[in-house]
Amino acid sequence: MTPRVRQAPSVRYAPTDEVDFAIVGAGAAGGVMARELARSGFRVVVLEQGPYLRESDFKHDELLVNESHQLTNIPSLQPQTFRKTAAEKAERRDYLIYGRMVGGGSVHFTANYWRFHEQDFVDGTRYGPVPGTSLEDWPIRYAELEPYYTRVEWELGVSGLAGANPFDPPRSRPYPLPPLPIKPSGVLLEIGAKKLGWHPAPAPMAVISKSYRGRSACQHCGFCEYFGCEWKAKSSTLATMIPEAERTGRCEIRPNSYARRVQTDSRGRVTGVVYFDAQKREIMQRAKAVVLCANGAETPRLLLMSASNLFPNGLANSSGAVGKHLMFNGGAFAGGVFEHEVNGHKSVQVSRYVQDHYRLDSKYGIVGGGGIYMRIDGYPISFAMDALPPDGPRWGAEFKRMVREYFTRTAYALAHTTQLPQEASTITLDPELKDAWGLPAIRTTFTEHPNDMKLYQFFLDRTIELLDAAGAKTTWPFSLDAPWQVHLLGTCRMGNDPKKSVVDKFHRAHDVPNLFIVDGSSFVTCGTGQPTMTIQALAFRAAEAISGYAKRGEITKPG
Amino acid sequence: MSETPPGFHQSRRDFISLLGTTASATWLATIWPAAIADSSEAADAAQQGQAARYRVLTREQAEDFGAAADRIIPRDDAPGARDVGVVFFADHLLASFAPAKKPAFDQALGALNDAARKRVPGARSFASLTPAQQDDTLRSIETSDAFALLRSITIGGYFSHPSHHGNRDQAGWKSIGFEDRMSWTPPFGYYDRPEVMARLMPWRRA
Repeated sequence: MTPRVRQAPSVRYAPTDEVDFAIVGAGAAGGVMARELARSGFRVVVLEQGPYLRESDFKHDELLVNESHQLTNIPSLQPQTFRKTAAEKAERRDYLIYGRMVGGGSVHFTANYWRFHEQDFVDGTRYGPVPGTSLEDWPIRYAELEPYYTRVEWELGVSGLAGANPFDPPRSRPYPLPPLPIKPSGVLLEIGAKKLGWHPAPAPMAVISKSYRGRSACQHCGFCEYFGCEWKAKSSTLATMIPEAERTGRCEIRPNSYARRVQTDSRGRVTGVVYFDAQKREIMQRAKAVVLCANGAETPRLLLMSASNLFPNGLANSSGAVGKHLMFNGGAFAGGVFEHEVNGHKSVQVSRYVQDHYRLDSKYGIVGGGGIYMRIDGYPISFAMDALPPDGPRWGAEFKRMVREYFTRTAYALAHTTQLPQEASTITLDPELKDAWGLPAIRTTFTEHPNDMKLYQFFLDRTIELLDAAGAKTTWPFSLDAPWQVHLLGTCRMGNDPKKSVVDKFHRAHDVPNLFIVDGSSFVTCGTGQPTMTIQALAFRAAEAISGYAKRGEITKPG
Repeated sequence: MSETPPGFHQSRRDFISLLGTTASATWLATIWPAAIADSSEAADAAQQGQAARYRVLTREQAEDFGAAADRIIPRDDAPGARDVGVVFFADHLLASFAPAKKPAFDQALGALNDAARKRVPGARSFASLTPAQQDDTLRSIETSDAFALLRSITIGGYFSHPSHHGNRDQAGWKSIGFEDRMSWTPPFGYYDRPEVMARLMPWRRA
């Protein structure tokens, strides 16, 4: 393989150049959109608020990624507020974490690539109205998305074993790469799951088990979650889609460009994006169409900041749904210590998973479900800080003894679950707090639905059960309260009814024909965790549709 | 003992108590590049056996913090906190990239010495107490923000990348069986050894 050296962008556009597409956000979705639209022959500028880092910038340094926020949003520059209900005044709290760099969250994520199942698109029908929720079916079905899941697997590089998980939805092609090697936590999961009558399978991971498309295979260094991959073995868009977009010669990735408004004209069409450059100068990039891929918090925020006389409640918000129905995925997790070395800090986080509880049997009276796997979840500092049993010693000789015994012998069982959409869970603009650019801070309003707390408790019981069945000497649960959240979903939901949704089934804003929204905000329901693969399948599908509109001259007026 | 058990996800990276409070974990962000750039200087001095010269800590503060750190992570058959340079880590932290946190650190040591004198009237300092008295003193403040800050800096200094002046010779990492490498090959631990899998997972042979 030939290492790609840092090079000047293959093309640069002047802001006054009217490009075909301005894309906001170079993450999981933006990377796919950029590559697909550029390959279709369009001139594309991608505005990314974060930096353009390369593999040589990544280090196995916990302080760098966790405390200096090398790869994620920076709370000192972009403070947030939080409240549980709209009746409260929001307080300063950095509740949301998201990727802020070229590649977005796909650079630091764990790389679990579970497809959604057929069921995930039709929970509205399955459960009917659930009080206090806005649960609905998607306007598309799994079968419509299946070809694009396959494209994600083959064009980004996903390792897995087709047919191994009996709950997997139908697929048109096997995985392009065999599963990564089983690791000790995977062995323990298989042992426990088999005892419980569950069906463990190799976990599908967006980490390449063999060299693929010019990238080298995973070397099992263990620094996947929260870290960037020095080997380019993690199939982030930074390692895959972005360089392919640039190689077309038609796509400019413009980092350190922080969008502040989508500009519209008197006819209600978008004309470009106004952003701050690295020197905080306001610049407008003109474009024939705009695609927002900024994530489930930044996208609705940008729409709300783009209010105008024509769009007084925010751009594309005649439905009032912009920022509403916020979901994160739920979960539960427990720890267990084993007799021998688990060494979860080596290799990818996850090698086996189970989906026997993808939707709970109706006898439990709980809506939703999830999947479970085992992994270790701490590098040395974070492990010593918080990963031991919460009722154990926090300092002293016994504390040190436990850290030394547990670090190599602990496995965690994690569940990732559904979470019900609620209209009252929102992203809005904080009326007082501003960020370092003077823009309104993100305000999150969120309370778990009572059903979901029951669901998380159900899964917490299963994680303990699994660790016990695997032979753990001791197990311990962690709190179900989430101190912060990732997976920002649902805030510009797709739907057929313009009164209740923000975009149509091809991600076009109902109110603005040349504005498209393609990221986690499009989700109607959140699936059982691991949303990135679905975000990217949607992006491949949207790019095909949008490319068609543009080629048929239907970008500013629907055909 | 923590009053609030770590929440979902929390153990994985949320060590905001490195600051001792929930105020903000963001103080490193703006000045981090500078911290990286000058990170080798004090470590070099220490490794060359030069007398400890601190940039912002007084000698008394270094002694009190070092004594507390050595009770938080005491020496056993692996080095204690002071052995691996956590005092240098703290000094560097407060001198280079977290000067705004110096007052909180000063207050924490003030609280530590107040507690020491409450425990042993007339005591000169926390560092002057016996180890047993030091443990009693720390126990009396272990739910406080002051203690949380001292604990966090100790753990940070013991386990962080050695470029930050602590974890000298990777002794903190070695003590728990962690090794920073760019590559591993299976088996990664005990349970994925072929003979162990053959025994524990008979269905794999089928």
